[in-house]
Amino acid sequence: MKKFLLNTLAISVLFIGFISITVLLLNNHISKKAIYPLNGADQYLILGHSHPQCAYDDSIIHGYKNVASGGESYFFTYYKSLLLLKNSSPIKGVFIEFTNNQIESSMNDWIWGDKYLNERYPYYSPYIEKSDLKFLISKNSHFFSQTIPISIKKNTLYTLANKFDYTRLGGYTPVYKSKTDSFLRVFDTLKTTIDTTISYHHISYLKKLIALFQEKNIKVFLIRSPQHKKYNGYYNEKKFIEILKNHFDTIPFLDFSSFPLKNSEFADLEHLNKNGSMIFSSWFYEKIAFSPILQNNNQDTIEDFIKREIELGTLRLTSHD
Amino acid sequence: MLFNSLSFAIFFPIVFLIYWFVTGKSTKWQNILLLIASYYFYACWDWRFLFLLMFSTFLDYFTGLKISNAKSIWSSKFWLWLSIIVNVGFLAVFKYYNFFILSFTEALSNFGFKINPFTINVILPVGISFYTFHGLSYIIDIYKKRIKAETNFIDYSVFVSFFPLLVAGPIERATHLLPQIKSARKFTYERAADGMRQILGGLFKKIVIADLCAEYANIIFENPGEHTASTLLLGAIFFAFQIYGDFSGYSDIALGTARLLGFDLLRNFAYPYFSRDIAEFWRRWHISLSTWFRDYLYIPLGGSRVTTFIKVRNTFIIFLVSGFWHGANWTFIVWGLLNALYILPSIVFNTNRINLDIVATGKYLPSFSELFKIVLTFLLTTLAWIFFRSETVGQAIHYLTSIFDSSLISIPRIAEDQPIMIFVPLCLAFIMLIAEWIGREGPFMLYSMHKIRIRGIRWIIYLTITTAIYLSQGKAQAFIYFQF
Repeated sequence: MKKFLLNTLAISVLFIGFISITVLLLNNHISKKAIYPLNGADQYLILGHSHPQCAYDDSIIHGYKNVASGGESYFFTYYKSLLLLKNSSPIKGVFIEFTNNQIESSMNDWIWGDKYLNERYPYYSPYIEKSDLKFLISKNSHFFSQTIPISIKKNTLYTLANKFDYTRLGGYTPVYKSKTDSFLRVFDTLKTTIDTTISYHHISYLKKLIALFQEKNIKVFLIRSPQHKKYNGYYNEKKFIEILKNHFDTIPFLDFSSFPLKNSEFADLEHLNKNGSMIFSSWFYEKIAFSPILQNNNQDTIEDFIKREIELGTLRLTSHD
Repeated sequence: MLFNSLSFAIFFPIVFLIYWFVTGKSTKWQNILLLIASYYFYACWDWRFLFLLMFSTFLDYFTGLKISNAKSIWSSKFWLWLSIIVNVGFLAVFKYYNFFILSFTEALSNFGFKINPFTINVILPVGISFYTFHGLSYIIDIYKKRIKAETNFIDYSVFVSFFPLLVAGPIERATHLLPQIKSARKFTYERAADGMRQILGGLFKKIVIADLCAEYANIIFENPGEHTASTLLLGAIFFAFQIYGDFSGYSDIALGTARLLGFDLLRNFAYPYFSRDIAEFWRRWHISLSTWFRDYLYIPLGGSRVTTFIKVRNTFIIFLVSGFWHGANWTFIVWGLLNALYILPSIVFNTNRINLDIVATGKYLPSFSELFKIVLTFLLTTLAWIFFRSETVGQAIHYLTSIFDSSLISIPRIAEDQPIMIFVPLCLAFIMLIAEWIGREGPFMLYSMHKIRIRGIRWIIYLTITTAIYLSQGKAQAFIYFQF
């Protein structure tokens, strides 16, 4: 028995040692090489989940780079930002999506849920800070143990293929369909999931993300992309405003949620389609992108600005039909 | 709790250490520990079905004693049939009720009668087919006076619910396992090392081969219309390796785990893909089920000492029941009948027992003739697996006929951007076959590893296999045979 246990222990130690060394070597190599490359002309970044990913067409908004990614929590946006900041080109400002569904407790799943960990952790594993690593393990130790081999496998393949360009982890994604009318037809029968609990973890990672940019003297804006007025995520609007005021009072909030668009310009009730993003991006480029109002921290200014735009007819007066 | 899960990796070492270090000096306490561990293991799936398992155990224990003590043949028969009816009844209700009622309704609707069938919405208790067969063999063996009824309820309960074999076999016999449960177990290094090697090989087959082949087989079988004939054939081959890796991998882990606890379970697989004919394949595939059917169905029906016509009839009955045992679906029945058709010529010409030895014994490579027979047998079984994998018989026939198309002579592919990836599981399966070929004279794939004298080389191989298993794992995939 003693010989058996000693041999089993020795092989286990050798195996753990081999895996640990492999992880260390891979992480060290990748963290030196990997980058989310930016064009030298990109001065502003758009970060967040699928709402900005579908709304900001950066081929129209020159000087802006949309790096948002569907289903991305602030936890992973933080690590993506570290890769973005490796670029030598200076970044003047970042626009971070902050909308109603990003305060819901379902965001916890976006941080440590099986599916999201599986998808995102391997890419960022070389950079994850020890405290965050402990946090992930404490929240989902079971699945976390399975993401390590997935990370080793993926990172080994990327290293062998010399694929260190992380642009695949985000970017403007046009949607060519509109299902808004069909959604509205069944709207009354749709059951809205009311999630009154808040993900304070997600909010704290947004703070960490903001602090990262502010340390580098990069101007931070919170944005809310256009949403249909019947978007069911508005149920927590009161709480949303409260969190905005209590936690992010000093950060300018540019609220484009009521930007007037037709049903056919939405992909669904919360995402713009290609047509919608063209209209919105053109307007954004013309009126906001390099506007002096970005220098002003006062939220009232941007709201007045949008109202004035509507009054002047620069923005179409047709509201959601 | 799956064998390939973290929970089992924690559960088993705890049981192992308590078993040898705490209860090691008392067989009675070891058996109590095994029973508690087995019930916990089973309850991890669905604790409610634990009561069914306990009831089935008690019924067979009780009827076993009654048969043993019966004073007349009629009394003995009564208890035998009571046990058979209740055991098969449970199986029928949980596994086959909906199938029968829906098939009956469909048949009636063909004659213009429409009825609203009463179906039951209940999940299949995991392992019911296996532990029911355990109980049946025990009762029949007592009735046939092959064994005496077990008087110790704990020992009998361990026989039925021993966790390594509880959910997917091998289907043990009381004559083989009960004496081991009753006698003292001694830990030996050689046996434990063999157990570890067998577990390692089983995990490799399951996680590296079966789970990877499953990914591709699923893609191809889900939309067969989108693929070329060569891709469809490859899909069927992937499934052939998936089911083999999955089930023989499970069996290896079960046998290896039992070895670590001092038990030798019945062998379930003996390198079936090296078979030179279908009869040999069925002597090497799911051996514990094949021999169960042989002993409790084929031989009572007359066995092989009957006319050729009766032999053919018996063979069809065995394969029909075997197909039906696998699941309540016509696909399994057709799969069984197709195998019966394959084996038919060897029954008629009495050539079903010509390949009883191990192929190419003492040689490095098979002869050309042997290789041809092996490939042919593999292709025939692979085509039969299409019925096993498909959702309906219609889908299977469509899949099968689509293989025989001009696009069979083309390079198979799934994803346009990664044409090479499709061959990765094939290469890994080929590596497994090479390892099996080298070890084919031993009881399991890595058995002959102990013959490598240099410990360093042995350990490098173990570490390589362990790393391959570790890197291949994603979310733990259930074993296919759990559904049976």
